[in-house]
Amino acid sequence: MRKVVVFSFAAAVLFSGCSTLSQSDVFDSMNQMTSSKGSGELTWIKSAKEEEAVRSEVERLLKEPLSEENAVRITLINNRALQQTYEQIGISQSDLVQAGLMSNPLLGYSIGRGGGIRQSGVTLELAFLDLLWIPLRRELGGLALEETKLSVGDTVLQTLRDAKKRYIDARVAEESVRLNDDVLKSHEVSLQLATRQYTAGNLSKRDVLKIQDEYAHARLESIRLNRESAIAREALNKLLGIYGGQTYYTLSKEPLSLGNQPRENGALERIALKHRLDFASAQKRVEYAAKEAGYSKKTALLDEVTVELGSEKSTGESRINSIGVKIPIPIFDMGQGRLSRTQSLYNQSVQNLVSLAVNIRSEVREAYATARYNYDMASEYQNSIAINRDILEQTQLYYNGMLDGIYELLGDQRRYRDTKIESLKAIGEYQKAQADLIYTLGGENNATQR
Amino acid sequence: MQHKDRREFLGLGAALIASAALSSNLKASEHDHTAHGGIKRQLTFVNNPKRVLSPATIITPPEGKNYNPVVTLNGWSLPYEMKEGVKEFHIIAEPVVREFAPGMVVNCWGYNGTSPGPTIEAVEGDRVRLIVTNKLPEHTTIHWHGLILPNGMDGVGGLTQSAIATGETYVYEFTLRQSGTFMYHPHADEMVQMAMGMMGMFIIHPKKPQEHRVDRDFCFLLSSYDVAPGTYTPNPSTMTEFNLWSFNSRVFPGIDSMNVRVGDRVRIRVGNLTMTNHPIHMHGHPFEVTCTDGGWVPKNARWPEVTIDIGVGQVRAFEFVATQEGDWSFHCHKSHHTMGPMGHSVPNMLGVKQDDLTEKISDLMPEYMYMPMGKNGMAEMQDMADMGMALPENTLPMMSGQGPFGPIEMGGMFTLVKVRANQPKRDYSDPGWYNHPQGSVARKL
Ligand SMILES: [Cu+2]
Repeated sequence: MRKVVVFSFAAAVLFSGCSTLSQSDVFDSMNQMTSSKGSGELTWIKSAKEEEAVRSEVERLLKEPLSEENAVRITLINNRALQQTYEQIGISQSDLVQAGLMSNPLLGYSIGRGGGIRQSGVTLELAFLDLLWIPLRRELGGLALEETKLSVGDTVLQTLRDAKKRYIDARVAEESVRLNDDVLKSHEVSLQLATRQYTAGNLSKRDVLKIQDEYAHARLESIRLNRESAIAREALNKLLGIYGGQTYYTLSKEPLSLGNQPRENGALERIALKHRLDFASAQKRVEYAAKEAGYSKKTALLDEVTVELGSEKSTGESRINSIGVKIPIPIFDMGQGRLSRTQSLYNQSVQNLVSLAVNIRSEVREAYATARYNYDMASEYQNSIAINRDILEQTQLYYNGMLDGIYELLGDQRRYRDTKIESLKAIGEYQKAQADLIYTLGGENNATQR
Repeated sequence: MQHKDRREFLGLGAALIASAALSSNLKASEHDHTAHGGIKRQLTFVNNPKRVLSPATIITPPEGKNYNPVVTLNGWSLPYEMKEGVKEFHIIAEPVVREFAPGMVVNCWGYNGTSPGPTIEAVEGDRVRLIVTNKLPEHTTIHWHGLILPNGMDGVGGLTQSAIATGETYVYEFTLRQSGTFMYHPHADEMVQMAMGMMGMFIIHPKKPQEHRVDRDFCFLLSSYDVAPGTYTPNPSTMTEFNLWSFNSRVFPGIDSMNVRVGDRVRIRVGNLTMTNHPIHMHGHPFEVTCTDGGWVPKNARWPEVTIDIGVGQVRAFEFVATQEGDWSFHCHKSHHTMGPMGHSVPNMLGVKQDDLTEKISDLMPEYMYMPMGKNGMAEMQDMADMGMALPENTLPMMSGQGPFGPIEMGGMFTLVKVRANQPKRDYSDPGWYNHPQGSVARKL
């Protein structure tokens, strides 16, 4: 008897203990995966030491004017919502460990006395078939972990995309304020001149008031832009995961440039399905559901088979060892409930996959169209800027010839600035669309891949 | 000198084509397949038009030329041929390009390559045949303004004749029954055609050359145009806001001066085909009006003037004996008419301090040399012009023209009568600036 028990324990320990990936192995493998898709090195804050390393890295990066690259970097190491999803890896990994463990054996001891006879017995009950099902369960656990890893990786890429977009918003908003300062200054000069004209007796009160009103509206616009800038910055701060003194960083003043046109690519849908992590994760889910359904079928009746080892001794008699098997009689529960449930889960996961594919294909087409047309709009604005610069240049000539007055000159200067603001916004829209497109295609570089 | 002028005159037909491409930034839209290669302006320039003085004495045949020809400012007289006792003139109505002053050309309509058209000169009693070909894009006619002629020769489209369609040639023929100063212009779509510069002078000399004889006989037409800054074609629907006020479609300083010799009896004939009157004023000499388009003024009805108002559609000829040596101003007395293009709605900055804002404004336009204007008047415009400050394409400065003592600050309807003791007879060339005798110039105290 002792031998059997020892063997069983040994087997259970053997199956559950070895070849299980550690959490950090899984995280590293995800890190590698998202890195190749443009995220750069990720950090999983799990200890005070890591916490401190991240903190000092964030401090260092915030000291210099914040570039898009660094905004993304800070977000990926410091955003706590993202850190929180990393724990999913921990949870799945623990599930996998759990799946590899055999059910604990039940040790029974009975003692009885009567009619001078004293009887004692020891039983050991072992859900023996667990030994057979453990590899299956571990396979399922492995799939679940894989699914989790892909899903967390997708969250990383989403966060990366969002960081880029919020960074662009903040930059555009801040630069708009700066450009608008010139517009405001120009209105100021207009009002100053008008006031002096009024004082000299050359302009009516009504006309000064009108110019004053234009200035007031320009100030309103300036306040509005400042408000937008503050809001955009806070949206970025949230993603960066910073607060307090850290929020006094400056944004880079490197001009936002239009960049390249998105390349025409007939294979976008295929590329997206090949590289999207959420899609890969959904595929894993199908695989899992298929495995689970098969497992349920196999174990529908036999799941509760128990081997029972017993040892009994009555007073004066020799010890009787017994071995027995408990088999459930499939009268009431023939496993059909569990079976149809897993079948439904499987069907559900397949439908989910197909629906996701349809959506992803649509998303990628939409993202491409948005990027493409936003690019066209932004480059159209480049023309508009050139045209307005030429208009201003011409008005300067008219001013030289006293064919136009100073107000026309200042007016066209404002028009030129306004076009620059509009153009800047269009460039921002294009860059955001580009970030969307990259995410939709499953990461960096896929946009240009054939 | 005369030979040189002739060569230049003959060269008039040889126009040169220049194309002024607009700024390279002005790209045609990709989708506009007709406009590949950018927007270009095709302009035809007349070679050195300022030098074209009247060559009438050279090119009209001596037969029947028993008169002292007129000198048309910046123009010429139309040559004719004698055909069985009839003076035959060929007139072509066509689009032309006129240089108003160096640096500015205008797409006009005119006659025989110029606007205004060449002066027609003949003698009272002549039978004339005027063969008119229409090369305009629309129909036209010619009305002989002030002439006594058969009603069917009066040239009023629809009323006395059919309009001359594009490509058609009509013949007018009549006997000249009067002498004096007259004009010709279209009487079909007049508003457009006159606004585009279709007009000319018609001079009929007296039968007896000794009647109304003068030593120098000048003529020109008053015309006005609305050519917006940066454009080339007059706006024909403008009625009051003209920006070019011209003598023979030339503006100062691009106008011939009237050069005479001391003792000359001088006649100046002026026709007005603008839409307003012009008080023409001459410095240095009083004059007498001797002729209108109605005919010669009897001697006992003439009265002295230094300014004569020339109404719309009128002709006035006035005469004086040049006694006073010097460079005498001759101009319309409406001050806006001695100005080039200007903005009539520029803000009034008289007395408004601006220079302290210069830096602020310059900051907003760093690539531009900004200069505040108008605080002490508009004379700084002349300084700007002198500094060569850039203006819109094909736009003249509001005022320019340098005299021996500095800027003259005039433009438009302004020229000079130059009286010299040593100007040779029949010599119309420019003697240069007057050399004042010592002590005869206003001086600073
Ligand atoms: Cu006038």
